[in-house]
Amino acid sequence: MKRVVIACGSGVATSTMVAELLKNALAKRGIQVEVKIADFKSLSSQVIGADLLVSIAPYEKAEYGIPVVNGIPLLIGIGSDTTVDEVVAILNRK
Amino acid sequence: MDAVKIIQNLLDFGPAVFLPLIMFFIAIFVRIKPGKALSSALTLGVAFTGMSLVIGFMTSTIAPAGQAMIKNTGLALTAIDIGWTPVAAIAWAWPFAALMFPLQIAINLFMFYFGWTDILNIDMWNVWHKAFVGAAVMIFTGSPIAALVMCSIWVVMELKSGDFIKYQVRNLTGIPGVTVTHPNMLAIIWMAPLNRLLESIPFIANMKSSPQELRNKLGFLAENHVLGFFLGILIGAAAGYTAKDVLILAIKAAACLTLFPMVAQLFMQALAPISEAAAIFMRQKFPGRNFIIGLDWPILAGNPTLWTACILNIPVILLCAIFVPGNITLPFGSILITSLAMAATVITQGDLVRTWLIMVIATPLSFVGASWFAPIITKMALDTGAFVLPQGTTQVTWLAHNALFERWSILQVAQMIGGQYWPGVLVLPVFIIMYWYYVKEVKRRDAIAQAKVEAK
Repeated sequence: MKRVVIACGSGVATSTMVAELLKNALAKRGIQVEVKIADFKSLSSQVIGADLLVSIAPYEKAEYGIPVVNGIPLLIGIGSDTTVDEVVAILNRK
Repeated sequence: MDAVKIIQNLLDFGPAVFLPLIMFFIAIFVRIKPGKALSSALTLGVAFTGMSLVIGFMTSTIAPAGQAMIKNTGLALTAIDIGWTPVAAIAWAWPFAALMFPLQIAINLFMFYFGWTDILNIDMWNVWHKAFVGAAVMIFTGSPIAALVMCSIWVVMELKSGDFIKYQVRNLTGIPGVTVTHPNMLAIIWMAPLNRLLESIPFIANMKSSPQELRNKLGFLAENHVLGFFLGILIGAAAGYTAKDVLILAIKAAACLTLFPMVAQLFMQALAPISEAAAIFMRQKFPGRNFIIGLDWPILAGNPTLWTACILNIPVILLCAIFVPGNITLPFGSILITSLAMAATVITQGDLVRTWLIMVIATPLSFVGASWFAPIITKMALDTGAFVLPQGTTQVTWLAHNALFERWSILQVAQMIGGQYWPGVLVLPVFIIMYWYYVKEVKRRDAIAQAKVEAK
């Protein structure tokens, strides 16, 4: 199964919310993923083995060697379909 | 039928039972499917139970070490800093916590309708902060009216704060159309004059720093388990433990700091369907009108200044624990005091030197505040039944208390509603003058940020 890491400030609230929204949106398209919740300060050890990082802070510049998708549209519910398309495209490509 | 008696009986079951019940009915009310509503409600009960497990583990680990530390060094740090996740659990356990959802949404829609705010706040997670204010005011004054009034004022201040900083947030994050409505941003009320002062000192204003580089070097120190381990070593050493016991304590402390956020995720999982429903409801209320979306603070969390300042502040925290007069707070759960860093990062626009200096100045005051709040937070935990504490031995508190000064002021003013006028009569005018300056200064800075955003 593909692994998606979702990161926010303390790895509690926002990332969990986005994880739920993404899981539901992907489930509607018949896609199952393993979602891992992380916080920014321990991200470098959390992204190991992941296929994709969904980030709530879009200007995180550190290089993790995996594709990064902006998670804000999912969070605010505006343009979230495009974000889900983006996620699906990356997961299919890998 | 005696409704009061039924409710009282329900409350006696404890928050892990009555909150899932409330949650289930709210979920059904906002038209979530029964299966999903049940799952959410049960997750909330599981979250409470998990949180009390970890709290129990933490107090039984740290409290004896704290006792031994008093014997060994004479340093009486009797109130354990539990960090924000257990404090959120305490706040949710307040019987009226669920009322804060409609209160926040109603005040927001009312203000938006009349054009008093540009924000639709869809952050339902931080509703717990309103519950905290309410529960604290209730304990402090015993007056439900005072609690309701203060919670409403708090909601208004959060929304206005989001309005005032919207371009500063945009300039920092690059995200259009959003702002931060987290109560932490209210700390800017006292940070604004301090930041202005620091800026006026040429030596400080011109100091260059490279937060990203420092963050890459020091970042590993901020990982929860690493922090917990080193704290455990320090506490164990101060307790005069043997090397073996120090290491056992250190690993247990690392486990506490790792498990807290993992358990706290369950609260959000439980709230997610309601949160989503509330967001959709608010967005659809005013079709065609422009709005700014109010969010939780993590959109700022990619900023290297924020984390670097937190790490550089750890030695200050340890020194303050020892040397601040009258301090009883044993720093543990909120060892990074991230709350100070986020507000400072916004007002300084990511300047590491000033962010760190603001934190250094505020850290001793945080200890004074946390020690002051210890009996209140302990009483809240016991009254709500959020978790059980070892009898009489330990207090709990919250070192990274969000918007500490503002919350303290609110409590003092709330007392006046109950007829206790001191020190509220002094606090209220001081607070109003500070708020007036804050509005002026933060608007000025937002105009500068707006110019920068538009020039990009």
